[in-house]
Amino acid sequence: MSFYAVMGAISQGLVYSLMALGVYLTFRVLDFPDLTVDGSFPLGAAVSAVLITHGVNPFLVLPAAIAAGMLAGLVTAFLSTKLKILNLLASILTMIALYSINLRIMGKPNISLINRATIFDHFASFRDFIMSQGIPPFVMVPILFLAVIVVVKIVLDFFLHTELGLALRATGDNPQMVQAQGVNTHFTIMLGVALSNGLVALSGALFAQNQGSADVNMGVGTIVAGLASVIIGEALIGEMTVFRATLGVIIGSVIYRLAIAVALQIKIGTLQITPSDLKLITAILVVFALTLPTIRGKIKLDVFRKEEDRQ
Amino acid sequence: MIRLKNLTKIFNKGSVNENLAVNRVSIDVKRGDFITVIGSNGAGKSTLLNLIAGVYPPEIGKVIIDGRNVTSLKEHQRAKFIGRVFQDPMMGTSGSMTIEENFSIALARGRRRTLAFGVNQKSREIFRGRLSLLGLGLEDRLSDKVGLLSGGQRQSLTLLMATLNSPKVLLLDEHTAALDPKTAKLVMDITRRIIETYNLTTVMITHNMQQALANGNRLIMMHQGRVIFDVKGPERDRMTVEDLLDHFGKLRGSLADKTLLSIKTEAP
Repeated sequence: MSFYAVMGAISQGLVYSLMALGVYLTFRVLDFPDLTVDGSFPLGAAVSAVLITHGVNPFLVLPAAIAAGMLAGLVTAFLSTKLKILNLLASILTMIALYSINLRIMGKPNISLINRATIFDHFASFRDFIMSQGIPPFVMVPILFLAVIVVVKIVLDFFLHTELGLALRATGDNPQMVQAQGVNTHFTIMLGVALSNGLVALSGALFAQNQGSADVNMGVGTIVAGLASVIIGEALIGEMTVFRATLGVIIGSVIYRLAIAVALQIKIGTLQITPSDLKLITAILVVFALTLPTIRGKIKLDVFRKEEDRQ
Repeated sequence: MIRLKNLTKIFNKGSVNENLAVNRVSIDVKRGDFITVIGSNGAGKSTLLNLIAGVYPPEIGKVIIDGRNVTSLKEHQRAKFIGRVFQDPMMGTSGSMTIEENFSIALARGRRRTLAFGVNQKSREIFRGRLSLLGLGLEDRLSDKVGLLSGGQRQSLTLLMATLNSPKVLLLDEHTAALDPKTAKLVMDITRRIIETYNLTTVMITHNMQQALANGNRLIMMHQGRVIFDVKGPERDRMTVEDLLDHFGKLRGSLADKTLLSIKTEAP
C-alpha cells in the first residue's frame, strides 16, 4: 500500500471519527440506538455542497450543516420521547424522510464541488509550508482533520463532565434514578440526540468538501461504520473513562478505514475485492467485533474449568 | 406536610384488566411525621408512593405538599422536594458512573443544571463529609464506580443522595427488602439516623410488621387500595405484631388466609 493510500485512509478515518463520536453519544452514552445518522451524514454534505455552490464561505457552511443535523436529531428525539415511538423506529423514520429532504436540498442526486473553493483552499500557505519541508502536500488534509478532532474531543470530554453532561450520561444508564433526581429525561435525550447528529452532519460536511462532491446515497451504511469504530475502540482502548472511550472511538475509526484499505488490496484467486464489497466486509467485521467478547468469555471459562480439573 | 385528598388510581382503565390500585385514599401527614405503611401484595402501597412522587397522575384526587398542589407536576419537577429510595439497590444510582458523579447529580437536584464541572473541590468536600457519616469507608473511594459497590453500600449511597438537599419529604419503598438481614439492619440504622438528624417527613413502605412497629410514629395498613387501619401515638407504641395480625383479621373478617400468610412477621 502506498504512502498516499495510507494517508487517504487516515484522513477518512479522522473525518468519519466525528460521525463515530456521534454514534458513541447515542448508542453508548444515551443507550439510544439512533439510525438517523444514515440520513444526517448526507444531510450535512448536502447543506455544505449547496451553500458552497451558492457562494457561501466554506467555513460558515459548517455551522449551518451542524444546525441541520441537530434539527434532524431533534425530530428523532421528539418522535421517540413526546410521541412515544420506539427509539429505533423513530430514527428509521427520520432517516427515510431525510432521503427525500436531502434530494430537495440538493435538487439533484449529486453535486460536484470541483473548481469551488473549500476550506482546504484557505490553507494554501500551510500547504506550501508543508511542501517546503519536503513533505507531500496531501499530508495536509489529515493534519487539518486531526486538529478538528482534537478540539471536538476536548470539548466533548469536557461537556460529559459538566452537570448537564452527567445528567445525560445517567439518563442512558438509569433513567429512573435520573428522574428521581429531578432530571427531565425528555430534555436530556433531545439534547444528546441533537448533539450527536450535529457531529454526524459536521462529519458529512467536511467529508463532502474533502471529496469534492455530495451524493444523496453517500450515507448508506454510515451507522454500521460508526458502530464498528466504537466497538474497535472499546476493544483496544477500553471504556472505563470518558476520555478513554472517546479516544478509542477516534482510533477505532482510523483503524477501521485502514483495515478497509488493506482489504481492498486482497485478491483471492481471480476474485478481487472491490469497493462495492465494503458493506459486506463491514457487516462481517461488526458481527465479529460484537461476538468477540462472548467468544473470549467462553475461552476464559474453559481455562478456568481446566484449572479446576487440575485441583 | 403531605395532604392526600381522595386519591384514586386505576390501571388499564376501561379494559378487562382494569385494576383499582388506590381507592379514594385521604391522608394528612404532619411535618416531621415518620409513617410506616404495611399491607399485603397488591394492597396499593407502592402505587400510593408513586402517586406522591408523581410517577403517574391520579385519576381522581389531589396531592398537596407543603401547602402546594403538585398534582399536575411531573416526577422530575417534584424531585425538588422529594427524596426517594427504591427497593432495588441498582435503581437509585448509576452503576457506570463514579460515587462523586452520582452525588453531583443529586446535588444539582431542584435547580437548573449548568455547563460547570459537575465535580469540583468544594463539592468533593461536601460528599466526603456526608459519606463519612455512613462509616462504610466510602469517603475515600469517591472516584470508584458505583457498580463496584455492594447492594447495601449502594442503598446507603442512594439514601444520602435522596437526602442531600434536605427534601420536604422522604419516600422509602421497601428499601431494605432486597438486602441480607445484617445489611438491612445497617441500612435501617443509617435511615433512622438521617431522618432524625434532618428531621425529615418520611413515608416508608415495608413488608415487615416488626420493622413497621419498630420505626416511625404512625402506622398505616392498606388493603385492596384502601387504608383499613391508621394508628399513632401511645396506642401504636404499645402494639405488637400479634395485635397487628389480630387487627388485620378483625377488620377484614372475610380475609383469605393466604393474604395473611403473605405478610412477613419475623424480625429482619
